[in-house]
Amino acid sequence: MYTIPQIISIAKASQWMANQAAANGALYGSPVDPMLGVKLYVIRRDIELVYNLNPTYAGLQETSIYLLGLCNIAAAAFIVSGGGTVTPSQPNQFVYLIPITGADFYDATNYVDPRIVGESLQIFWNDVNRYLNTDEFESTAAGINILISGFDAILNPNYSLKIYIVNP
Amino acid sequence: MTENFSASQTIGVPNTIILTDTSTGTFDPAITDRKVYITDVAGNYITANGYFTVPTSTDWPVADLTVSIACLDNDMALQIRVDWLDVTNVVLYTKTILFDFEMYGLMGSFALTQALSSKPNTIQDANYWNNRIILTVNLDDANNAVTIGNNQFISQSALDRSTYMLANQQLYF
Repeated sequence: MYTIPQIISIAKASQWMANQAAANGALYGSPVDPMLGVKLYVIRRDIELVYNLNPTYAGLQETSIYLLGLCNIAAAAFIVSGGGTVTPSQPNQFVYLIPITGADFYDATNYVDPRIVGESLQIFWNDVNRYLNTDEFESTAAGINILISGFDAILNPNYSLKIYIVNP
Repeated sequence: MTENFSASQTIGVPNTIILTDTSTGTFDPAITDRKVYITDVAGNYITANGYFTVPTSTDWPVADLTVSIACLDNDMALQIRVDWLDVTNVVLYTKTILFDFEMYGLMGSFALTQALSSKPNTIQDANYWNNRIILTVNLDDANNAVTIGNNQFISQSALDRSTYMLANQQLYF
């Protein structure tokens, strides 16, 4: 059994649906009462105003059941069973490309950055113009460690690397 | 203090308007009394004691948050002015608001809907529905004239039409 506020909501949706149905075919043989939308408005208006003033006013229950009888049951399906609102989630800000230089390194081979900890990485070394192989660097608890023999960021602060976070 | 008030009606009591003081800010201790002036579209002053052509007010004691005034014998659009006075009756604050009171119309229209639910075949009566729609449009018109247009004459004219239809239901419904 629907409550009176639910019936009011159903009637509002039904009013729109009735007007759409009338506009789409009432004049071309479709069995739709072209005045149904207005009738729903007239009856629903009275019931809604009276309900807002006194929800227990005599006659409200009977008239709202009558109103429900004029409504489109399809409107009931999405007003009572579904509906509501969906709040879109705000995606987290993420970084997928981190350009660094030799000066950013903690020591000769270790680069510390919590943003890359635990991430799947690809590292492009501009100075040799290629991606590092997976055996040429390793992830550490604080960032990455470059394993290439002779790599020394302290001596070469102008090293230029780009760290890509894969599937951030 | 920012002076303000609201007006309402109770269903089942269409002859009475209820005013509520909704002023905000710190109450001004100089205020000792309130007076309510209600005027219709013809400029008459209306109180629970009747209509007056000279300024006539209803007292609204400061101690009372609300005041009920049984002054309506049909739906009306009314200018209501509330004056906040000091002990020498000097007006310290004043506020005027236009309202439409259509409880007679709402109750009459709802009664028609109740009758409709007991005589379902009426739903097919085109003449009945043409007049029901006119009645509803007049009531909506009266409300819109106040809330949108702030026009007492248009509102009262619409209420006069709805009042006539409900007073002569045998002609329309």
